[in-house]
Amino acid sequence: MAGGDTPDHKDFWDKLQIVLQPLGGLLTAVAVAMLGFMGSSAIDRQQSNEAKLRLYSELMSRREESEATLRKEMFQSIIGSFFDNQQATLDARLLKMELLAQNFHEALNLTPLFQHMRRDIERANVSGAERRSYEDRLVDLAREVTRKQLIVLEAGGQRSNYTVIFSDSLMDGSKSETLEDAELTLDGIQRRFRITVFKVDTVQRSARMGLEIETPLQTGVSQVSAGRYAVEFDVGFFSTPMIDNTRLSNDQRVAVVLTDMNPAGASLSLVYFPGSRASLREKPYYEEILKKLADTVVSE
Amino acid sequence: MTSVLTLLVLSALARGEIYGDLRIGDKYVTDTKLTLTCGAESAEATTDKQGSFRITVKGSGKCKLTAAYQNQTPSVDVVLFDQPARYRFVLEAGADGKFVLKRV
Repeated sequence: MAGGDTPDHKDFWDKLQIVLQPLGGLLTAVAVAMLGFMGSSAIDRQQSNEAKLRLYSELMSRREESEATLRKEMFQSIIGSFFDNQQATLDARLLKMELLAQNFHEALNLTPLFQHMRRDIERANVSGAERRSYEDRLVDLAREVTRKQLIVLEAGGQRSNYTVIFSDSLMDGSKSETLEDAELTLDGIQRRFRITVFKVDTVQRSARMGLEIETPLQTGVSQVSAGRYAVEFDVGFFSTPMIDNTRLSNDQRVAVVLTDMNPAGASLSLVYFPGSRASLREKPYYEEILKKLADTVVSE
Repeated sequence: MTSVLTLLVLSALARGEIYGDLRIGDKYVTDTKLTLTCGAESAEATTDKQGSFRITVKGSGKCKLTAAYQNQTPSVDVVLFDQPARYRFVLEAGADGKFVLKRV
């Protein structure tokens, strides 16, 4: 055997190993390269999304800021001229009232201004027809504001409507009328509402009312918040639900709205809505904010 | 005296309008005849495919709306104002099978 050909002991698998060894290295390199590429694309995508979000929030906050400045200047200008220039005509002052009400009804309690305007109209040295026309314009404005607010509140809450037929005893206040109970549920909180009309004034177009609220003990309602409460208030066309409402537990609100009235009767609406839809000037209590934060963390 | 007379004449000449819809539970009630009666005046309408209606009648103030449904005629008092008023009604069946017409 010496000096003879050394026999080839490499079988098929050895040969395959020789061929595949460099290929394996190549495949690993390709895999690492792909992984790197995919990782860097994911990071790029994430960074791009973050940049878009940052830009969006920046744009939004800039827009909010400029809008707030514009509204502030507008408000100062209108309210300033409203009180400074008492010699202005009734028509001009009504126009300012319309501007204020249409632009700031969500942030401002306009009831005192509406009442002030009504007194001005009553005192004004104008003909009966003109006075009626001014009064109608003022009332129409108030009802338009209420209508807009009701749409917003109803969209996020619950509404119940009532018709009240006036009797002589209701007009003179000798007998009250209790309306049918409304059982409404909002965000899992069930409550019962009962409206009692004590007296109506068809000249001033307002009514004295009582509202009883009963919250049964249920999941999400603390022992302290459960129970029956009653409030009394006056409701007229100048009462706006976003501001003239009753605060309930769990950051919720309820308001009674006078939608129409004539000597024969009135149309009322009860609207039960979340506090987030209430007036911009209303702030939730700290414990309510903390509770909401805790609830959000738990749900996540 | 003159103003009272004027008011009476105006209310007699006034036209009132109500509009809205009629339901049983969550289902809207279609093709149902509704009659609005204000004193001696009355007007009729039929609920459409969406259960909506609109009725105009001569007169204003306290009126009565009657629905003709399954051989029954439940009714409810309504008030007509100087502007069209929206009324949403539901028919609720009592334990005796009689329907009650209610505003919601």
